[in-house]
Amino acid sequence: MARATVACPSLRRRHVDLSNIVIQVLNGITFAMFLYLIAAGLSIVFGVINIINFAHGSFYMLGAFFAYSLVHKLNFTGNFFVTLVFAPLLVGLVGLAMEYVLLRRIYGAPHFLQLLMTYGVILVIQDAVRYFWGGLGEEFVKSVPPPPFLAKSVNILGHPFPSYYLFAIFCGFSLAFFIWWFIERSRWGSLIRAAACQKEMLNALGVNVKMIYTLVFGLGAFFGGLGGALAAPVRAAYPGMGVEVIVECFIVVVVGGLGSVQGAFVAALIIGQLEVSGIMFLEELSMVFIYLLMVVVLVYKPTGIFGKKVGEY
Amino acid sequence: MRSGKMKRHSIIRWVFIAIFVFLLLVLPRFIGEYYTNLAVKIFIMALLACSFNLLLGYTGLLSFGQAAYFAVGAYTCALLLKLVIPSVVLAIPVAVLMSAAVALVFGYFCVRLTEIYFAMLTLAFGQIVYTIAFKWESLTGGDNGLAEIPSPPLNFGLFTLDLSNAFHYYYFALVLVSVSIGVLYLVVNSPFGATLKAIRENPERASFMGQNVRVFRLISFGIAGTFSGLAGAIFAPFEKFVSPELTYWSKSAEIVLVSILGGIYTFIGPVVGSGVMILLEDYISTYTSYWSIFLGTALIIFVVFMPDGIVGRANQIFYKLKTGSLIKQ
Amino acid sequence: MTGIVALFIAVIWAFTPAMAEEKPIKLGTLFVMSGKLGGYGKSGWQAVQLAIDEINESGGILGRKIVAFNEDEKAKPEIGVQIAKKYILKKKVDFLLGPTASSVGLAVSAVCRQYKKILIVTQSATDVLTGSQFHPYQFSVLSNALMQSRAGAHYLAPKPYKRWMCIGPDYSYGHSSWETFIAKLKELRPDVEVLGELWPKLMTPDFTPFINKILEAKPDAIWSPLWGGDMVTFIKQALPFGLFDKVSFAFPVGASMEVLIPLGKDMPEGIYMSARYFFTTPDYGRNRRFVKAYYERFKEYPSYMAEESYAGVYFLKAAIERAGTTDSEAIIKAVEREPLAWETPEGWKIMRKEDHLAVEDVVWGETVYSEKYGFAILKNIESIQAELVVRTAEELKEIRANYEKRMKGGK
Repeated sequence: MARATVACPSLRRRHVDLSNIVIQVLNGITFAMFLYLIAAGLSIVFGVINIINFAHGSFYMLGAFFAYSLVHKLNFTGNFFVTLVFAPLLVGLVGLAMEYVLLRRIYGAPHFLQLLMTYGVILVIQDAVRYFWGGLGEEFVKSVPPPPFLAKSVNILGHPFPSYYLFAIFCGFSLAFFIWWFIERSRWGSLIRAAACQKEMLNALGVNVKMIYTLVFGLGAFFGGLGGALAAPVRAAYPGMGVEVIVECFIVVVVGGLGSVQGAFVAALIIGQLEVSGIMFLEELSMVFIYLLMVVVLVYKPTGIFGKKVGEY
Repeated sequence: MRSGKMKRHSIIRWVFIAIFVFLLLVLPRFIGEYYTNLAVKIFIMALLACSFNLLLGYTGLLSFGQAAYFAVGAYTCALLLKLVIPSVVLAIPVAVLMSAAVALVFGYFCVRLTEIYFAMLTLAFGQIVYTIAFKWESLTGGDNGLAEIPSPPLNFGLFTLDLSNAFHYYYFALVLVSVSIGVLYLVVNSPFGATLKAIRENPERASFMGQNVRVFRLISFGIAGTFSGLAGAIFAPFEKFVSPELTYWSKSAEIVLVSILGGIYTFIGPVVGSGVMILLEDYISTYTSYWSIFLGTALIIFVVFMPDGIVGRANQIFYKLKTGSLIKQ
Repeated sequence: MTGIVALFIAVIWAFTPAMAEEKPIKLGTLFVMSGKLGGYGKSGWQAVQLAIDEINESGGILGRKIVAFNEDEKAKPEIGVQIAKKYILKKKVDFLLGPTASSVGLAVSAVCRQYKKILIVTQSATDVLTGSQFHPYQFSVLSNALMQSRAGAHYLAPKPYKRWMCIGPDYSYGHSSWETFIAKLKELRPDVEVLGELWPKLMTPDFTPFINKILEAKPDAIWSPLWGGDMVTFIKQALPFGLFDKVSFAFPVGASMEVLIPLGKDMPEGIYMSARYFFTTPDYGRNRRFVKAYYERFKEYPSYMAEESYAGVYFLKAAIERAGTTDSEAIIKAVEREPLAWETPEGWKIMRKEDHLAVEDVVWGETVYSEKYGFAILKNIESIQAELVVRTAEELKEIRANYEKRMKGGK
């Protein structure tokens, strides 16, 4: 196989140190939260509307780029949280537009056609981003600085841990809670759940199901954009970042079980932890972990962990 | 018993086919070396797409990792030509066997699933193959790929094909691809093919009728993988360079695209789709680097207005012209 | 009757040899124009256009204008090969220039050899091109990974760092960059200790586990072949850990506009960086004129990707002028007759005949934020002499011998 990592004693001597383990777990949770923040929107959209939105990664990318523009061009540096709200809102609008103009027409269509159309959307958005954010003198790679009060680390059991990651963990859990509350407990949530299972009945009762679908899709886009805006201060933004992240999103959603939002959360946690542990112990395979995991899950539990939809024959 | 009208249609159809074959045979003379090269690429893609469509159009399974078998075929052929013996007579069949084997192994796990789960699993396997190609540098050359693949001459006794010559390779590829597509045609029109279609439509009913769905799917998967591998084996000595990008999911996506574009519920749809896509990309890229937005827009419009693919739509129009009514799909 | 006359005239006209002096020289360029590497292609193509316009304005090459085409290779060898064939067979270009991605470079180089067209390599840095897959139909004007690493070893050996680690992208460029560096460093300083190597996969979104490993191991210094988006992400994620205060870093391809501009003030100071070219140096006429012209036209300072492509076009001009013709074989002979020196913004470069690689000094420096520019630039710039870092005579012999062997094997 390829080059072996030069394993020098000082690295391999593993401290069975509680603090190290805690940090590793936290790293895994952070990684998972970023995954979840992006995948949540995809999961909702699939769960309610039953549409495979390949272009979800583009919402992530737009979130990051809108955040960049808001911060750099419109001088929003002052208030980070404002950017965190506005960038996803803009993405949500894009999502609404996309649903209204394009997706409505293919709700009944077989999945592969949905795939094709949303793949088309990815391509369009990708080149659009390249065009609008790539004028003369513009670099392809964009960077958004984190807000100063989140730019340092805190000390956890003797190890430094970036405060921004704590913030991200907080956001991830909050989002998961919010989604759970919204869908399971709130009034709108019950409408949405009804729209997911009993569309015709709901229509007959006079509810505008079409609008529910539009709003749900917009919500999904909003969450995708939120993921992008949140990731921007700790990652480089570049055209094409959406395409790279979409496969991971799908894996999270599939491993968690299509249609289950809690599943996506749990799957993200598992994947995050495995990735981090894998990097610590089995670096050679880090390229392929996430795929091996999916193979294992799908072979043993074909519908994913919490899967509701029929996936096996 | 054939009525006179049907016999006439049959004859017309054969005449068209004959003309088409004749055109294919003389094409290189008129289109120059570059387009002959492009034609070879179209042949390879056509075979790849047809093999893929055995799974999607005829068995109802969306394989999102078909490029893996293409790449296994390409790499195996390349390695044999470079390291063992420069002879395509050996390299190509072995490469095909290799892809078939890999397809059967992966397929065994994949055919238990359906719909998006199947697709995702094929994707995962495809990416695993990508990782192997990328990281196993000593064998595959890693991300630098394998260069200087020989194109050794093929001696038939009466004449020799110089495979490093694009015009000769054109005929070589044309024969191999035509025969393969012909075989695939026979497969889909055989009782086996009919069973596949039944499985595609309604797997539960098919199983109630006593068919072992998984086995049929696996065989279909294996056949698809075999021909994809053959496409790869034809690719290697032509391109003279293989690299891990050949297994990446974006290549698999291209295959899916091309087939749906042409029309997955027709046999020649994928062939037409391959030709259209490759020619279009070649043409548009000359003028702009914004090919993606063009393709994306085309896809969107396409899904809305021509979901049956080019050939599907053409069939509808044709039928409408003939009988004044639309085919009900 | 008029038909026959017309036909007659047409035939005469078709067979009259075209006025060769008026036919432009055609250059086909390939770069990555989209995706995360797109910045390199954008720079490269901009620079080529600038060079071409300058050359045409001052009379062209051998009295002929030069015209360039550009297509996006998308970092895919299959596409690169198709574009190369399109240029050679359809557009009938005289020369090719580029590409960006190393794998595409290798694939396109093979096509050029097949059709005996000269390729000017200005962005692919893999040393395989001028090494194990060398052939005479290409010329590489940029210092490749080998030279950068050796220069780094020479630059860093005198510094007080003994315990070294590496973090780089997990592919052939990253690995060979480190291997060449550490081999040379050990030669110059036998007392260095290697604590470990870290290889995050390309486009890793999360470097935190790697950063933790570094903190645990406590090296003195780190060699990092990370570049572009990966480098930006890594630095952003490492900053909260205060990593750059604890460990010194050396980035062999770090001083690129792609990285310096987005990071702006966030770029830590005192980091060792190298670039094939940095626009503030050398401070002499040719460079100043180039930077000024590039900035005025494209509203940004030229990165090394731009300058190398610019230098590539000027190399082509020098080579054609020396040979007196655009014929490939004649040019190869002319360039190999004696080393060809030509002027570029980074100074005079020399094209070596043995491996068709440009001999040039490599520049290393330390980062410092500049108010004037709004991003970090280099200070304490040192120039590592070319002779120290280029291939030795034995290595060159080996390359040529290998080439002869491969040709005998028959392709």
